[in-house]
Amino acid sequence: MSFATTADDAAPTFGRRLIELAPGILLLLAIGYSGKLIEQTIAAYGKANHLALPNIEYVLWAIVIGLIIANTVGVPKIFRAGVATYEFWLKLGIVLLGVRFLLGDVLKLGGISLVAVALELTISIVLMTWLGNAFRLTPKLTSLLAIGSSICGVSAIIAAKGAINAKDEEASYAIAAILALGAIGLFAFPVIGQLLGMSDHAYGLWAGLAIDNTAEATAAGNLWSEQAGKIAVLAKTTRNATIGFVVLGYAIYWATRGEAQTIEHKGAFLWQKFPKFVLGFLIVSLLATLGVFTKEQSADIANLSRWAFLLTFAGVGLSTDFGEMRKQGLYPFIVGAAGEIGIAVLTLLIVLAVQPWLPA
Amino acid sequence: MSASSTDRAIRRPRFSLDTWAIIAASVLVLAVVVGTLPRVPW
Repeated sequence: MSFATTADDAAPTFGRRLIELAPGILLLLAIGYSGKLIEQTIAAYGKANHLALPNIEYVLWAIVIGLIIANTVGVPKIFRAGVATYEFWLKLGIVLLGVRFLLGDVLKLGGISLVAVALELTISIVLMTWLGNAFRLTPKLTSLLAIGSSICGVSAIIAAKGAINAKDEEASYAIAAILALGAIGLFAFPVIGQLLGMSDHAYGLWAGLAIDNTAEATAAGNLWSEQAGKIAVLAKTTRNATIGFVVLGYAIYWATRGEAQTIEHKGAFLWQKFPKFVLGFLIVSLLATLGVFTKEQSADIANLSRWAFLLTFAGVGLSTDFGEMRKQGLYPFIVGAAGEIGIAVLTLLIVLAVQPWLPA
Repeated sequence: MSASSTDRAIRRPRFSLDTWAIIAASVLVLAVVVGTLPRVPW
């Protein structure tokens, strides 16, 4: 999804593009806000009737409403362009969330995350490669699944597809598997976390390490608590920042086999693949650390981040099409599922191992 | 596509989603700091 126009377009004006996007964005807002109203209504009903109702976050309601619409009546064409903006709202929300992290926290948690991320990357790549070979998937599909599960799902797969000359259907297989498993993880993780009695920090770190797509990882964290959502975003962002290195490694591997272009300027390649919104997050975090914002301004910026996430979560539900995933076939899904379960278990062990160094 | 629309498309800056997110965040942060935006409720 891009707001940019390309030379292939009929160069629509910025105003026309906004009009195209408006219905879908309004739909995201309506669904996200309905989720918020449902959460508040249940809480108010429980309070008024002295009932101890479980607090189900608006995140879940927004995703569920979106899922129901997408998988029953479908998303009408007029809304599709706007719904696809959910990745933009995700990135905007993450940049603004920087206000909630003082740079010291980022370094401290980022340091622990970095160790955990390094372990997660190694485990995911080894495990997915072994499973892909065992199930005789094509070597490039195996590479894409390994990249998708180790770093950041869809964007990593798209970045790698060009770099290793994979086929379109290999990329759609890998994307479908990663998205289907992300959707399952979204609902399974909070239940497992609850059973294990995990802390906000430990759960957030686990969600950020094990769930592959940034939107699903953010949603799974926020389903648990806002604090867990913050940690999940940080761990996931740390993973995203490694995208250039892993894709470069795979590109070099395939280039040495004569099946991808040789990369001449490795520094430029790393910069090109680096997710730039991470820099935005760090800059906002730096400004907050320097005390540029008053307490009220910080609260306002954090609230803007929440609104951006509200649109994101509605988009996650609306963009999950189970029918499309079924069409992609069973094998990549089995490999993906087996790999993801393995990664979820191993990252859980990593989190439990680093838990003594995490804040309570 | 006509030559003029191609020219326009080529001249148009092509921002990535990340760049758009950073631009939008900068505008919002500036609006909060300058006080253009009213208090943001949640």
